[in-house]
Parts: sequence; C-alpha cells; structure tokens
Amino acid sequence: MIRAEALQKRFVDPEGRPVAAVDGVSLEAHPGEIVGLLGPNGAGKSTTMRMLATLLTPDGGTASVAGHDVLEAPAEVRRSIGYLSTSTGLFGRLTPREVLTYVARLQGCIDAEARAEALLDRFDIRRFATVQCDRLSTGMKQKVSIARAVVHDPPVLIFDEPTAGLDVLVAQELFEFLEDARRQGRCVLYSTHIMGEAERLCDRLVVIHAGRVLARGTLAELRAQTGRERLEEVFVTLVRGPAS
Amino acid sequence: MRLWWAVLEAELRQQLRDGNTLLFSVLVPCFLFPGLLWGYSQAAALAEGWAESARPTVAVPADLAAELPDTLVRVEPGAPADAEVVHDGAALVVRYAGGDPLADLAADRLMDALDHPWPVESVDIAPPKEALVGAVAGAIPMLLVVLSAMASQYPALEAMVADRERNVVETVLVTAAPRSVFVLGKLASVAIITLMSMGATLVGTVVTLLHLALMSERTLGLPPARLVLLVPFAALAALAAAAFSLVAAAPVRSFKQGQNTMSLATLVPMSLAMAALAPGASLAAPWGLVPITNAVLCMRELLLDKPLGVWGWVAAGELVALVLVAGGIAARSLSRRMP
Repeated sequence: MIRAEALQKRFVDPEGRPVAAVDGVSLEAHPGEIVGLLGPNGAGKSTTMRMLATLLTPDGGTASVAGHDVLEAPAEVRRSIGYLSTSTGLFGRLTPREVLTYVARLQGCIDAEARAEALLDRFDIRRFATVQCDRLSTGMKQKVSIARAVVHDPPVLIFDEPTAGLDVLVAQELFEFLEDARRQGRCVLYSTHIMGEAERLCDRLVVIHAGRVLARGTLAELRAQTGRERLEEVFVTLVRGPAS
Repeated sequence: MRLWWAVLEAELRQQLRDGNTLLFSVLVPCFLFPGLLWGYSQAAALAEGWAESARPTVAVPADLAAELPDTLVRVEPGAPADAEVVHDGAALVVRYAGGDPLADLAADRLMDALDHPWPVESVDIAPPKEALVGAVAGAIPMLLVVLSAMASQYPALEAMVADRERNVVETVLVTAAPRSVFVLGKLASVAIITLMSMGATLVGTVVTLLHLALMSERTLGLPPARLVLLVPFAALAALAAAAFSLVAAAPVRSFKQGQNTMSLATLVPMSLAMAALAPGASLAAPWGLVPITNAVLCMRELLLDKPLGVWGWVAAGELVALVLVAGGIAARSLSRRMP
C-alpha cells in the first residue's frame, strides 16, 4: 500500500546551506496494519509524510501509495489517501457540514452530502454541524479534521502527530477510529513522538532520526535489537546509541 | 466545472462571512449614496433655514408699490405658496413652492397687497443645473471605481494570504482536484465580490436618483435608466481593480502586513479614478489614454448622453488588457504557492 525507497529531500537553511531533511528513507506499510513513524522533532517524519501525500516533491528516491507513483500519478495518490497533520487548518468561516461536503465534492464523491451527514454522526459532531469552525474547541476541530481526511473513504491514512493538543477523551476516540480502520483493512502510517501511543496502536515501527531510518520492525523486534523493555528506552537507545 | 463551482461556492461563503468584506463590499456601497442624499437634504434644509432667517421680510404698503413702478417683481421657487412678499433690497419677491398655479396665487396676493395691477414676471433663480449634473455625472463613476477598489481589498488578501497563513491550503491540496481549479476559483471569488459591490453601488445610485425624481422637486437631470449604460465600463473597471488588488496582495507574507500594504496599493486605482475629476480632464489624449481614468471619463460622457467615439474602445481595450495581465500575474503567484 505504501512503499518508499531511498526518499530524499533537501532544504536550504537560513544561512543558505543545503540541509538534508530526509536522507534515504525507505519504508513499507501494508493493508490492515498501522505503521508508526517515530522520531524526535526535526527527524524528518513530517517531511517524509508530506512527500507521500504529494505536498512536497522528493529530490530523490521513489515512492508509491496504493500502487500509484507520487510523481507520476499524484492525483491518484491523493484520491487514495486521507492526510491529516496538526498544522492542517480548517476553513474558519465554514461549518463542519460545509467543510465535509466541500472536501467530499473535491474528492469526487458523487454522494457528497450523504457522506458528510454520515461522518457528522460517526464523529459525534452533529451538534456543532452548523457552527463555524473558528468557534469550535480544539478537540472538536480535530474531529472535523479527521472526518475531513476520511470523507472519501480512502484505503490509506497518513496521520502526522494527530493527537497534538488533544485531550485524553478525544485522543481515545481517535485511537478507536484508527483501530477500526485497521480492522477494515486500511493501511495507516502514523507519526508520533508519544511512545505510549505508538505502543498501543502500531503493529510495526520505523524509527527515524536526522533524516535517516535507524531501525524498523515490530516492538518485540526492536526490544530484542536494543535489549530494552520500554519503548521509550528502546527509542532513546536507538537515537543516542547503546551507551545511553 | 463541478469542481470549480465547489471551490467558488466555498470561497464565496468563506469570504462573505468576513465582517470586513461584508462592510466594504456590501454595506458601504448599498448605503453610501442614500446616505449622501440624506446628508445633502439635511444640509440643504439647514442652509435654507439660514437663508430664510437672514432675508428681511417686509410688508408691501401701497405707497411703496407706487414708488417702485419699474421694479421687477420676481417669483422665486422654493417657498410656501401662501407666504410672504419679501423685499431683498432690489426687488419685491413673492416666494412660493410649487408650479404655476401657485405663482399665480402668489402674484394675485401681491397685486392685492399693492392695491392696483402690477406686472409680475416669473424668474427661475435656481442655480444652473448643468454644473450640478456635470459634477454628479463625474462623481458617480468615480465612486463606482473607488468603492470597487475598496471592496476588492479584503477578498484579495483572503485569497492570496489568509488560507496559507491558516494552513487551510493543505486541506484542499491533498484532494484529487487539480490545482488550477483552486486558482481559478479563488480569482473568480474575488472578481465576483468586487462586481457584487459595484452592482450594489449602482443600485444605491439608481435608488437615490429615483428618490430625487419621485419624491422631491430636485431632479438632477440624470435619468436613472441611463445608469444601465455604465454597467460594461463599471464592470471592467471593477475587475481591473480586483486584479490590481490581487497583484498587490501577491507578495504579502501575512494578513496583518497585508492590511497596510493593501491600503496603500488601493490608492493607485483610486487616484486614477479621481484623476478624471481633475480640471481639464476630458476624453481625449492624454487623459483618454490613462486606464481607469478613461473608463471614468467614458462613464461620465455616457451619463451626460454624449458620444464616446473611439475612446470608448480604447478604454475598454485597456481595461481588458489590465485584467488579463494582472489576473495572469495573480494566478501565477497563487499557483506557485500550491505544490
């Protein structure tokens, strides 16, 4: 479902020097599994995800989503993914109902209104369906964002730190939604730096640091690789080295 | 087309729910002319009151009439019919408010007061209409363009900057819809709001002129129906103002910075529009070659029922070129922001 081979992306820092934000990242994610992308801030998680979502053009390497190459068939890729990040905003003066209908229409859904209505119930946002998004709480906005991301029923979900700023209850709802998605056979790429989330949700983990993949595998495999028990210790060991 | 319509609909909803856009695009244009009319009537009434109190009112005894056999007696419009005979130093004046029957009545009263027949001449001493009509015919098109430029400011900023600042642009960029649909939808929304504002100004103007024609004696000599002739030039000028605002908003990095930039940038189309009111400005070179200025001049000529000749085509051609060039620059700038 998601396949990235030696992805590369370079930016220019404020001093004009090229910086490799992503330096040869390869990963795979299959239907019916949640793959966690773990890494500290600035590790290259978001850049990798944005390249997979066709929001950034890779400088090197290849990537395909749902069988479509991100460079050759970006529209098909976008049709296949539900992308969500903490920085993704909502149209502040549109209501949740309007946002969902609008995005469903953009995604080519024939029954856009019906899809929007179904999601208002699925995410328990019907009570706020006619309130402008600017007036919603952070949690409610994030629910609308999640609904927006899946309005076209995509087979692949790319969620970039979706729980940032959420309270426990809304985060819990998100986890339940993702577990449902896995049961339905969707492929989920989920980035976080909260180890508890990764431990609970992810079937496999890809640890990324300074734009490079440090390790990949199931939690059990990473434990075995590092000799540590808790994921937090596993992560620190991988990032800082065994001496830590 | 369906996608484009979806983008346009969402953009218009988003924009028209903004207080600033609503104020400058709908409320100000709708109420400006009626407001000006109200202000004008209040000022006129006040001035009339002052003039009334300043003018000495005198009774006319028979012996005075006998002393002034050759003095012209004027019948002045604008005063109550049963009112007074006044003496303004040079002439005896019968002040009345209506048409000829009232003039006759006033003249009869004067004659009664003078005890013997007296020749009464009716003189229209109202200010020359032509000057007023000319000024109004210039002011209406100028205000149409100025208000259109003002109306396009916030929508242009919204379209070019606000979405990116609020990270909303990602929301639509991860959909399968082509980028060109968003660019065209955004540009069209700014154009539509600006045209809407121009339309509201025009409607306000027509209502004002109709009010003047129907409710009072103060007709301006501008048939409201003639305003319809302005629509093509007003629409092109409004689109040019919108395109200019979009170009001005293109390099802006934040909404806050944009508000200052836009206020300054809008002065350009406003100044060009106001230049048409400069003394000596006419539909000939060099004024006829200046875009927007020539559009205002064309509209003035149309209101005054004068032929445009080749200058109409020159103005229209320049405006179309301006819209296409500025719109193209804005579209390119927007496209660059959509990877």
